[in-house]
Amino acid sequence: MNAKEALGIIIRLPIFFAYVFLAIIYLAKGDDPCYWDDYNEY
Amino acid sequence: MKKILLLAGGGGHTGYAYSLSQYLKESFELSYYIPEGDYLSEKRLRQFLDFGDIKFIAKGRDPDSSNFLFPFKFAKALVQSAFIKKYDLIISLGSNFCLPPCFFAWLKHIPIINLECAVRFTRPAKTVDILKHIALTVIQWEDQKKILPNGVKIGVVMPKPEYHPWNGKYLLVTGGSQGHKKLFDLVDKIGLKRVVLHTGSINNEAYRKHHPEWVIFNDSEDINEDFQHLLAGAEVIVTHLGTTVLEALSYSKPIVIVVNPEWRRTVGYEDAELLAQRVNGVLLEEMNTPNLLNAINEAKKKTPIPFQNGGKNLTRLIVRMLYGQGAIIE
Repeated sequence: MNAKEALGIIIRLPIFFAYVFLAIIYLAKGDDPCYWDDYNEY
Repeated sequence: MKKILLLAGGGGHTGYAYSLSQYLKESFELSYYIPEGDYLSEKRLRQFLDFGDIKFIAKGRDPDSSNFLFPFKFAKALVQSAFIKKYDLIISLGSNFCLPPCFFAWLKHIPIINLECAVRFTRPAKTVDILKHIALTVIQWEDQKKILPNGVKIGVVMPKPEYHPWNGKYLLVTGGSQGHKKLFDLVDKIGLKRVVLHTGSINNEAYRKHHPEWVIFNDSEDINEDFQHLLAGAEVIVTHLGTTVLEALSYSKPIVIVVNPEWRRTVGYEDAELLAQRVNGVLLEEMNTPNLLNAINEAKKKTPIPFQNGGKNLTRLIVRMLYGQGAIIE
């Protein structure tokens, strides 16, 4: 890895952590609302 | 040769990896990430390896698994993905499994392609929704522009047919790699004679006892016949809402779609209706014996609509991305 690539990673690092954090919150927020409740009768 | 990493999250997601690999293998060196313990995906994809490799990483959760272990598995996958190699391109094929490697790929300035599943019409998959900000999103139907306006339409990604279609006069019933117990129990009760039953990860001992004349297998059993050959010979294919629908299309087989109510974390009934319309299949509205028999008979009268294979279009797009605008493959 050269200096330019390393600098590119360092610049993106704060956004990376924020993005991962937000993604985990979004995923953990619950199930995708589905139509199973209507379809679950049988 | 340029290096591409495909993220094959198991089941239908691996199905997409398989279909794309059939086109990409000619022009690229392919590698795969697959979920830990998913030896079926490994078995299916190993044939495409030349100089590339296969790596197992943790999968946060499945469509029917609990949320409790999710943060731990996701953290493990992040650690496993941290030292991702410098590929020329990464293709995310759906499932939360793709997120950790894609995050690190973005950090390392590796381009990402984000494929939306063919069965999504009413809302994008969460993984696709998350990755759309850092990846080139590709969609399979024009209608998907409503949910992913920046998506590039490539067409339906189907496997290349490996056999000529033939009529073995049997019903092929499958619930994909996860299985579909309610569907299997229903078919079990009806007592049809000529059935090939693929139970995925579900135990099939009871079905074997009730129907010794059926061909029954799950994902851990080796059978003498190739699954593609069984697909090619089916008179009608009864399947869950997954990529088997697309495999059935590639062999122009009549399809009955039976959504799996046990999967709370995937697409819903409305998506299933829209997909059934597009592929000229029959959607089972209520799961009972007369309905299933009617649906099978109705499906026999319908011919699936032929589509241009999106795998070829995506390969062209990738060739232009990595080798330049003038590059062509055939």
